[in-house]
Amino acid sequence: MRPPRTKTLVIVVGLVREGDEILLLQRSREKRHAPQKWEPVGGFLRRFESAQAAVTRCARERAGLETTIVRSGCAFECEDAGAWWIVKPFLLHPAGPHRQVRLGDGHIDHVWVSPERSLALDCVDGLREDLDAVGLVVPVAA
Amino acid sequence: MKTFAIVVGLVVNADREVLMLKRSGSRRHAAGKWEPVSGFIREHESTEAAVTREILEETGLRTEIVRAGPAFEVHDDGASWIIKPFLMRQTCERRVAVEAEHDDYVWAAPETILAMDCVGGMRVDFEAVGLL
Repeated sequence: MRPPRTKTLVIVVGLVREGDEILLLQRSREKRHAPQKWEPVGGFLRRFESAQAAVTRCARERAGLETTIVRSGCAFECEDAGAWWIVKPFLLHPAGPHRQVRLGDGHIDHVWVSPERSLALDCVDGLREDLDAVGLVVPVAA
Repeated sequence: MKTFAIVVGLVVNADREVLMLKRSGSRRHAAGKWEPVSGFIREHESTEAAVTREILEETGLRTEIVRAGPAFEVHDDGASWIIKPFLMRQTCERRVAVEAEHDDYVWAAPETILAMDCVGGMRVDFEAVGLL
């Protein structure tokens, strides 16, 4: 039986795309949740902060990138790691010098990869939903 | 367009009446309109913690969650809102005490509320938590 839902957290996710490739960051080994898994830029909103400000701030803090928002996807809810998440996803474009990723604490590596290839990596749960939500649909293998 | 995330707490009493608060006349936006308890979530705070906190801060009531409704997005007044709605009930007997942001309160049936001068989206809120 599914345990009662006790914790729902709101986050933003940013798929930073340049050409045909998106940016994924590798979580550090020390992370209690999903160590060494690949994930897009993302994070919590500050109180009173818009989702737009939060996602561009996260891209700056986590990857050292200035970005602009190409489009947003509809917010969706999903379960992962014993909590529920309300995810507001965005498609971002690097605004500054491309591919000059500067990782913050918490990530040990980065990669630019096509959406198809990204799903073959050891990613956090929900990446396919993130891609779908911003229109980067990857056909499910037959 | 900016998108904000808020929680909405629909506090219901034994008569199936919902608590609504009247925004004070000095508010820049939607002054004098009726609204449920709502508020912004703190960084890293769960929506569950946010809604019980907001109700306590805005009304003095201690409450628990009866049911959570699915999150949904609405556009209102030039901004976009991600709303996580909850159906709530009091955990101890107490009268409502509104604070500075609100002038008045009322307990009313959902059908009655829909005829009042409310902020937008009340029907969607009620439907999301199964009150309508």
